[in-house]
Amino acid sequence: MSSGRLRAHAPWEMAVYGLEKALKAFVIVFLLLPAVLVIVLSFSNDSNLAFPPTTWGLGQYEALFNSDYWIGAVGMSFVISVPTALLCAVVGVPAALALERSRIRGKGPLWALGVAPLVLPGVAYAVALYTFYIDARLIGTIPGVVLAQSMLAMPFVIIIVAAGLRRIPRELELVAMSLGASTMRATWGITLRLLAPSIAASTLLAFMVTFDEAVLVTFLGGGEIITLPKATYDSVRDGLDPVITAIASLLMLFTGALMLLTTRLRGDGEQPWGS
Amino acid sequence: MSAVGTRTGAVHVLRRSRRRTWTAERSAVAGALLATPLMLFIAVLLIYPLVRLVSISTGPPDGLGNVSGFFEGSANLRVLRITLLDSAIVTVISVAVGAVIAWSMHTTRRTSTRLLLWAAMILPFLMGAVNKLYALGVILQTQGIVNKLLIEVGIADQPIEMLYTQFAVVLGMVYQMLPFAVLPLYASFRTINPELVLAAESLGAGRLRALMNTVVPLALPSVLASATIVFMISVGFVLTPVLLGGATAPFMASFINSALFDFYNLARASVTSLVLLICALVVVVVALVFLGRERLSKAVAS
Repeated sequence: MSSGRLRAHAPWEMAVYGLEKALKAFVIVFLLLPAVLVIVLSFSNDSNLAFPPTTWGLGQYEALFNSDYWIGAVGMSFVISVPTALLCAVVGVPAALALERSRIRGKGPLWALGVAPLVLPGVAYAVALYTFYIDARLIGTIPGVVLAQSMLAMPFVIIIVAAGLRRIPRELELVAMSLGASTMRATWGITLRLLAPSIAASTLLAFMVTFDEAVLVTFLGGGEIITLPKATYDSVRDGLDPVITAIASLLMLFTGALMLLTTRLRGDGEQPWGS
Repeated sequence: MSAVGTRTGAVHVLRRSRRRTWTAERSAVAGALLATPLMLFIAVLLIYPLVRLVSISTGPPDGLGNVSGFFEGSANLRVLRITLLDSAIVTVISVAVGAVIAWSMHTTRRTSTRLLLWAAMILPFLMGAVNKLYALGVILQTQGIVNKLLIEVGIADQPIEMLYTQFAVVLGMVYQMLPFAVLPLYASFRTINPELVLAAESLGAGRLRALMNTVVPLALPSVLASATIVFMISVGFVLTPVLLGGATAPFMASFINSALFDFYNLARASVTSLVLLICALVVVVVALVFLGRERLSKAVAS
């Protein structure tokens, strides 16, 4: 940092530097400590969450895999998240195509409403859906939860696919058409083919978002739909069960792998950890 | 556009008798068809529920009186005030700290610093929303690592109750919102050339003044846009107040949660949600007026 310095710094400016350094260090510790501590504690065999652990082992992982409650919750998470992600793709990809590559009117409002669930205060939206679901008798049903989760994860598909479309030159379709392809064929053969990585990445992200969602499941699941985040939420409400350290650690691995896959798929040269 | 135009012109000459539109833009009809599923989703799962929320909130027993009645209860006002105030605190901390962090990510030449900062942004996200709160609970609990440290260093002589306090809720919200604030800020900072600062310094400005006169004016709109988003999300937090604040935490979300699931009072939950929604909408409208749609949607999209 000291190269390119053009003049001497007053002491108070050095103090600002010091402060910036301290802030950086604090943020790194603040954000990393909980995660690292959870990983370390997941290998503790103690029944409490004392740090440092007195005995080490895989007890938490054994407890996790021997529990019908947690395994059932993981299963339910997949039952909800997989259809949700697919539904998001089926609805979101054509919508992104319409928003980026068609002459429909009202693109602005459609875009705004499409991404609104991302920023609506979560609890207010959950109650709004709850009022509707009571009338429609959708509380505690799998289709009901899937539909609600789809609306919530839809913005990710719309945003990512629209961004992917913007990177594909429009002229390519024109070239295909000038060579005799129909509009349909040009769409399928050129645009959607080039778009496939974006579609896959956005579907994966929709899956991850849903897999991790606890608020809508709590409000709309009616106590019958118990996904992993919902089960964890119920457990943490009662206290701090050490088995969750194992869940959190495994989830970090799982989500980390999916994230890596997503970034690879999008491959926009944006490697944050590289130079 | 003009390049496409001339190309379209050339293509017209080649056109055979078949009628065909030589453009990569689909017609309004095709576009509408493509967007129909999304429009249905928006109508049924977004607009209708919100309309229903309003109709329940302003329905029996008192119509609009339900909503004005909310503002008459002093307990309600206290909860609303605390929620808005804490969300504002969280927003200011997240965005201010986030801006410093995003700027260092953009300018630092040390790979290790960059790596650590990115790990710090990503690792909590990977852990999952509820597990994050669990991890914070583990750290803050009476026998937790923070209390141990405080006693060891001699700042405290007995464990401090941190879990199930407002402090824990604010800390938890900052923990979750900080990466949310950093990422869009980083995306916008990347468009700012760090050499601007050096240029200003070479003209005799101190480091701070150089930053103030070059980076801050360029970055301010995106900083405010991301503050808007952070505030809106913070206002709607449910899990954090319930898990870190305990059952009696004075937050709108805990209030709604218990109205619905402890008292089965749908009307009260709706009214409270509506008030929360209106607060958030006011913030968005103000942001739209001052920042414009472009910047706001950029802050959402990244």
